Amino acid sequence: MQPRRLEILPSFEHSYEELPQDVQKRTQDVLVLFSERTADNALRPELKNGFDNVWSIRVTKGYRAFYKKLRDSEGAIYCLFHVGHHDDYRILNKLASRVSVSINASRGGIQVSVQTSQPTASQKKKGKRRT
Amino acid sequence: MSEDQNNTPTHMPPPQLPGRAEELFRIVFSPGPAIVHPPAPAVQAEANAYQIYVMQFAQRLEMESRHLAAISRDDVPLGQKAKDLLQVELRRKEALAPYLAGPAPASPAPAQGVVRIWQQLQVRLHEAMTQELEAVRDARLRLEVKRAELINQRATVHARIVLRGGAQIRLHFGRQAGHAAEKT
Repeated sequence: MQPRRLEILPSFEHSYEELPQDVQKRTQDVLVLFSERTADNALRPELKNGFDNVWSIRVTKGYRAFYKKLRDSEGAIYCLFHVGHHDDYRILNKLASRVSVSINASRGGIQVSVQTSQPTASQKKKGKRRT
Repeated sequence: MSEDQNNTPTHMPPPQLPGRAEELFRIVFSPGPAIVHPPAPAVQAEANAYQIYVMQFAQRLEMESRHLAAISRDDVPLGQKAKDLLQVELRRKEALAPYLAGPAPASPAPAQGVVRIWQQLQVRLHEAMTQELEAVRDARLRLEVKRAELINQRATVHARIVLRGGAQIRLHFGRQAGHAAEKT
């Protein structure tokens, strides 16, 4: 499979310079992985709802790199324009929601039992659009 | 987001977080012995008030950020406003974290009666909290997208990178540097 062609835009440089050093290093690694298409499951390319052709990939838990996917005569080109803080609160919510709570309030006492479950394949795919 | 008399699309007062929201979250997510009774009408009313607040807050923030992105011609104040929003987001995330990280059943089906009512209330509040945080995050991202457009309009691209066959890359983003990347 051909590697992705990446274009680093000046605005990406601006935001990159404001990152902590460890996140800068991770950003470099992520760009290589993204270009090589070797870790898309971990990078989770995702189209941002409510924005025009804005995609994100995961740098760390709380950081994302953002790009627009354009085309030229040689094919797709991924124009990276921003990297910065970005949390997926709905994912956080889903993680929490996989914990099932059972409360037994009978006989004057309260018993709480917690069961965790793995996400199903459909839960994992829901809400995601891949490049 | 601060309101600018000249630029604001509306002069409506901003929505106010219900004063008892924190107490509401504590009651709903740690009901304790109260679990044997349905939530008090006052608790349900507070929950409704918080949901309404979040809806109005999200609408307002989206409208203002779209307006600001449409009229802005300078990336510096946009960057500052994005930073302001980030501080708001981090502050609210910290305040809501104990309730978002806790158990909230997605499917209240197994529970019965009173417990089910409490669980449904928890799910409803979880959804509203998520919406509140996402509203701030997305408003910030909207400003950052516009800021990027403005920066890129006046700057040239430093690097177009094509990696092939295990090449490694190190990025150098010095302002005065003539290059942005080198392969090893």
